[in-house]
Amino acid sequence: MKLTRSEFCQFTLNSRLELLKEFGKNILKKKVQMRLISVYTISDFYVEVYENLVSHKLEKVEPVKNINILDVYREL
Amino acid sequence: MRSINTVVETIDQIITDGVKRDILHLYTDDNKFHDNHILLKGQKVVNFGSCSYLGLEFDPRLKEASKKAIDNYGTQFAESRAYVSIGLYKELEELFYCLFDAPCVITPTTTLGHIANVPVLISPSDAIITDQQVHNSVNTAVKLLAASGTHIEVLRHNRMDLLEERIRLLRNKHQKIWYLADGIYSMFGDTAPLDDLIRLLDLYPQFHLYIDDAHGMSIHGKHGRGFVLNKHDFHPKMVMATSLAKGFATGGAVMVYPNKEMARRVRTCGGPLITSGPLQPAQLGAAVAAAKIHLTDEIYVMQEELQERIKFTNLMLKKYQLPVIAENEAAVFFVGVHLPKVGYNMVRRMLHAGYYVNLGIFPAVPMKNTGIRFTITRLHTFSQIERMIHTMAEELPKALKEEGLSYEDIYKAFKLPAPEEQLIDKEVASVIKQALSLKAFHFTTIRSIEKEEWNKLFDNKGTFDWDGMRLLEDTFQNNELTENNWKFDYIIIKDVLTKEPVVATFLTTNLWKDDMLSPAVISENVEARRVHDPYYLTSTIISTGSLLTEGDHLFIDKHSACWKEAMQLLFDKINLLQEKYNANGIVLRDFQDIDAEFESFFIDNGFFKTAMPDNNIVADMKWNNEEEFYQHLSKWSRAHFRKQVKKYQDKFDICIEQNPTEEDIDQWYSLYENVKNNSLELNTFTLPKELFRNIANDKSWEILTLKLSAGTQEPKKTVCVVFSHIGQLNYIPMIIGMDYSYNKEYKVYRQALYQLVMRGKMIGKKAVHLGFSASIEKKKVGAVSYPTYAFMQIKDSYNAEILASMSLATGVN
Repeated sequence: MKLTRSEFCQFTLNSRLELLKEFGKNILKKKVQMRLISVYTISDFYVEVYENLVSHKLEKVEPVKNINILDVYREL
Repeated sequence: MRSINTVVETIDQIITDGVKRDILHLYTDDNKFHDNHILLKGQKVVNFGSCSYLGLEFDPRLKEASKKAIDNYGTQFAESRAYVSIGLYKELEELFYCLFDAPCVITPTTTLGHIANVPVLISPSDAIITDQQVHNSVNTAVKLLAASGTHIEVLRHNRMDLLEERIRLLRNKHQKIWYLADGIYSMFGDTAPLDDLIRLLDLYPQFHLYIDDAHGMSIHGKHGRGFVLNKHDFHPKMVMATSLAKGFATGGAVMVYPNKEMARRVRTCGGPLITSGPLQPAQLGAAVAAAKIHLTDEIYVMQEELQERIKFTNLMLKKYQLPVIAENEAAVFFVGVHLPKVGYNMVRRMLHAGYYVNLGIFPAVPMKNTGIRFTITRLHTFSQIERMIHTMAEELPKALKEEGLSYEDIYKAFKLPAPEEQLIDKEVASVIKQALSLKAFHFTTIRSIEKEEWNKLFDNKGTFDWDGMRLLEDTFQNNELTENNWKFDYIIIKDVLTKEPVVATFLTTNLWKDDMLSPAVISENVEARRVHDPYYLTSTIISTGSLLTEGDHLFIDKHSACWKEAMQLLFDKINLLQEKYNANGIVLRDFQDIDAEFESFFIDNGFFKTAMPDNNIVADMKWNNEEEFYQHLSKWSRAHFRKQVKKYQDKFDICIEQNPTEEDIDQWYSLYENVKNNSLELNTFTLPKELFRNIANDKSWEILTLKLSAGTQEPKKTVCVVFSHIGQLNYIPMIIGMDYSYNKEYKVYRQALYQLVMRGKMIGKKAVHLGFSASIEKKKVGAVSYPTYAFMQIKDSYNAEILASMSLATGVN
């Protein structure tokens, strides 16, 4: 199953996270201030996930274009 | 005609086949359900057949409320609602008033809701128009009105242009015009064109809408009011019925009305609300809990979760290029597979792979539009959906190959555009077919076939030996009227090794009256319309044999090991011809003594069985003279013979006509027209005069006339003429003409039947084929009636449904 970026973005944040958990691979998890930041790969792109650890709300589940994303987070 | 209900027989056959194949009438083996898995025949499968779209059946609040209601009120409250209802009903009705913002009546099922509504809301002076695909439960209620003479008609599915036309035509004759439709259609999951319907409601004061939104309840709209009310506010001329046994997860139904008076009348006068039992405490308790959830914002979270899954399903179906019938807003999906045999094959494969899906088959859909129907609920994970669709995409080509079909066949059956990639598959499939040890020969004229070869196959089977076919070709081509121009196709399929025919037949394609086999009273109504519109309710049909031949038109060598493959090849050829001639139906006819294997084979290939009129044959010709013939008859027939035949024998001179003049032919044609116009039970187009001229000049035929004898009112007057085919073994009277003014006095028809049997004997034939209809009369001269059947496929059943609605309105079966 291959979802394109634009197809992935048709879904709500909650569904995107479900899709990532069911079809993607988590490659990074990092706590930055009050957020848990995760990076997943799904199909042929990366997705950034921001979860607010205080409100327990999803703030962002977006594909990223920067292929050096992992380096960016490792440097944080 | 036999009073056999072949539709019920066909349903029985199809469902029983499904039961035998372990895909219908299943029971779960689980002791307890935890999620969307069920145990079938010991195998754990994901259930893709549930209509509990929001998964509320496992919600602890509903379960708890149900248990509490049983604790408080017991397992049932066994009183009619006309007397007493338990208090939970009142609470639920108030909750529904808030939920729909309109008066409601709760009924035990949606079907009973329709039965309560329709006879109370619709008066005999109103007109009913039902959508062609409206749910069967709505039609069940409509049938109750038929006896009171309410005007009922069927509309082509979702055709709002035709609906407006009908409203304009009916609005001056009827107080109200009700259109009965579904919000979401239960098989294909497509929806009613609500914007157009609301426009028509606003435009025409007489127009009213009755809509069943069972599959839309809970999953759409404010408080889960459903698909219909999500698109538009409640219209003052609309009545809505919806189910509590799907997304709402409790059982029962709710009817919603534009005003309190209408709700009161149904509550007071609706049959099932007076005499049927109520919803029981367990269901009422759960329903109150479900309604409370619907009145909170939680319902919108659930709706969104389901909608995300519906969106994902549509996406996956596209990605895997499955022949899905409609992209849906509903949670019902239908992947076309074309024929029942592929449907059975696919459901079995899906079960083996761990997925339970529904078989969408006749009578819910037309035979050739069989498919895999599946539903999505909030409980399905995205990966379950993806894996199920992936499996379907992997298994469908295998099932098609196994059943000798291709994707292209599916796209054609559902009139869908085929993706290019899959057309290549068809080419591969056709190469595989050609590699079989069978070869099909196709001819468009009998003149291209060796006389000896054809007669070897069809001599003594009817009037369609080589010369008989030449006569038909000469008559039914290059004529002025459409109905008198037939296409002829001859197909012979041979075993390549033995070079012997395995299957052979001839087909004619021409215009048929759709009411051909309808009761005469229906045909009378239709003929009245044909005065202004001669081709009203007519269809182009491709048929084995022709409208002018009777008998065994299909040669099958059942000793051949590959007769089924040969038949499959014949079906392929017929399907191609159907497409070429744009024919609406295929009729394979004149079958007798059908065994179960043969019947299953046809049904698997999308044909349904239908009864033809009985065929009557005098086969016992072991008598030598009139006295011996008389002794051969039953006691009852002898009495008939003495009183109805022998007594009038001297009133007639029997002649075999030679070299007739044009004047003779004119006179006989006029006698034929008398019979034709008097025989609406077998309503066909009038035969052209050219046929009678051709028969008169053909040595294989003879013309027998009955003239009044000396001593009668009009001596020498021809009162009956019969055109008969003389086969090597059989005598086959095919066309009769009569002057009815003498029939009562001299029993002309009975005399003619007797004289035909005598003539057959006189020229040394082994049997006299007296043909269809008038079985009782024919039995009196020694004929035996043989039940005869046809197998049919109809592409578009709209005309058949119009005839069915006429039957309802006239109260005939």
